[in-house]
Amino acid sequence: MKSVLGRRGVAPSWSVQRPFGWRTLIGLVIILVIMGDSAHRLGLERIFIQTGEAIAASVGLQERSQLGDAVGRITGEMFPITIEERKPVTRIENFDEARLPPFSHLESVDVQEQVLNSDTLQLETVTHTQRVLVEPAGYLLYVLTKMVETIEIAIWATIFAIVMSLPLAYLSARNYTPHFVIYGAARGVVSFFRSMPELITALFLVIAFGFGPVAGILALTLHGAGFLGKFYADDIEAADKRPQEALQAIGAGQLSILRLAVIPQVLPSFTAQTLYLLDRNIRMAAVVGLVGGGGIGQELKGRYDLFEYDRVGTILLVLFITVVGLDQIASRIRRHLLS
Amino acid sequence: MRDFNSCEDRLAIDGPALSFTGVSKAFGDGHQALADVSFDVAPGEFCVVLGASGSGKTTLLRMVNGLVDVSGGEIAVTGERLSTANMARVRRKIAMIHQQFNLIERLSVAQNVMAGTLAQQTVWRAMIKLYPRSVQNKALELIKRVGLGADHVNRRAARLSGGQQQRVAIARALMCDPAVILADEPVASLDPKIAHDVLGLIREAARERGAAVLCSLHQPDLARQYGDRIVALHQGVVVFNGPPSALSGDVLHQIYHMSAPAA
Repeated sequence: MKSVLGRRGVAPSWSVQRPFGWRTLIGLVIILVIMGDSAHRLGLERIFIQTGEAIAASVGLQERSQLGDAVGRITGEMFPITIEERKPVTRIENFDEARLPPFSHLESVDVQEQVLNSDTLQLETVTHTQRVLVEPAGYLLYVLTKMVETIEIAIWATIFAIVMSLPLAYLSARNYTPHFVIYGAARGVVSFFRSMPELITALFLVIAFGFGPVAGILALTLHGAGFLGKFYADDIEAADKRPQEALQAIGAGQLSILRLAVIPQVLPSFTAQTLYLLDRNIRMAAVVGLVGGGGIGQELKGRYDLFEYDRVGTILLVLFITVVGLDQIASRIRRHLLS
Repeated sequence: MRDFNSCEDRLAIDGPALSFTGVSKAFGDGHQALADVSFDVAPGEFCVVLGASGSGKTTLLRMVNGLVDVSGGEIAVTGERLSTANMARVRRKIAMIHQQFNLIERLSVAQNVMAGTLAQQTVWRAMIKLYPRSVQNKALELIKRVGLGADHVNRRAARLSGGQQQRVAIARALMCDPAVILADEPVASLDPKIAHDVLGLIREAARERGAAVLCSLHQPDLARQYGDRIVALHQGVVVFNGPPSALSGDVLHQIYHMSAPAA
């Protein structure tokens, strides 16, 4: 028998419940105050002041702006970007003039050098001719090979993350875990992996494994396994219960039910998340390169530290085009799988 | 393996295919869903459980294959008493057809039908979704039997109409040569014409194989037309158990129109 009394033991009245009350309003005010204090401490007002100045300067209301100057200086040094590679012949080991690399040629360049004259103790300018090997697309090609390495790092990290996260997802899905203690432990491991930022993990892995792709791949794998493990597990928990029940009624085992009634249903979602991880790994592979995890990031860091912004420009352009291109491919795969 | 493929042994059993003896069910919140339900279903018999929503029909069916625990009394399938210990074995004799079909929508019709034998397959077969040739042939035969064509075999279940999906579910149910077929409101979400087709198919297919059917319905006319016997439930109590011809207006009035007696 249903009780005539409502939830709080009060007789229900013929009125529509108000969608929000004074408690919501007070809560909103408190949140606003906290956000205001935080914004002030972090100096967020500078965003508006400096952007405002830049806009004012660009429309001629102001002589110059700090932001505009900085952006102008960097872009000025970045462009034109460097595509060719020039190397003095004297710095190339076992240089053989008869066997130049394809599409390359030699140039003679006059180089001026300041030399200290030992007799007069004065700095003198001496000019001498140097032969330089010019490869017209040399640097671009080098950056592209580094980009390919970066993509390889991302793909390997994604594959390892999938392999690691599948058992973790099984153990940390509430409706399939063998035991609640295992569930708790698996969820803990997944959260731990996810909470480790790739950059920090990479710093330590570089110490353990040395500079290069291995450290980068492992750093991305750990974080990726945490990410995929959580989302796979959530998908398994949220999958439609009806087909699972049908197979359960037949007497199928847990693993069979998981394979046949859960995996096919969650596959589109699994794929979308995995593709997102791959996309993210390509960008993060460039970032972990900054701390020595191999790939294009390592090259970027080196050139940035040498103030060679024209080469930084080349790297950033290649990175940008790659990410956009791969995004196109990924969305095509996703559309194909979802149909 | 052998005992699943030969129905002869099972059909030799003289007793009822399914029997309820003093079965009751109380849920954790104290709600008494079923009280002292006792009746038998003979092999090959189509038994309809008739009742309004909330009368305990679904609970009764789901207790037979262990989707709901039994609180009291005893259920026996082909003379074998249900318990947690033998649940896995008993389940292999029972098939279920659901109101919402419960197919794996992203798998093909053939894969859905073959999944009906999962209890007899190794985990590895399930993992690669590759079934023995004999199972494949049987599935094709049953797909034909339920009235679907060759063009449906490898189509995704989700792309079929409701009536066709229920036909697939029937084929899946027949895959394990069940002694008992449980049909939980199998036509509740189908239009009247297709409802007749589906119920007719369940009755014929079950009769051919000597399987007992326990089918819950809420439409009295369908119950009368297809049931060999009708068991009417009202608030968890059996208020009628007999042939369709004996189902009186009084019983119908009781299960559909009478207000609940004061508790």
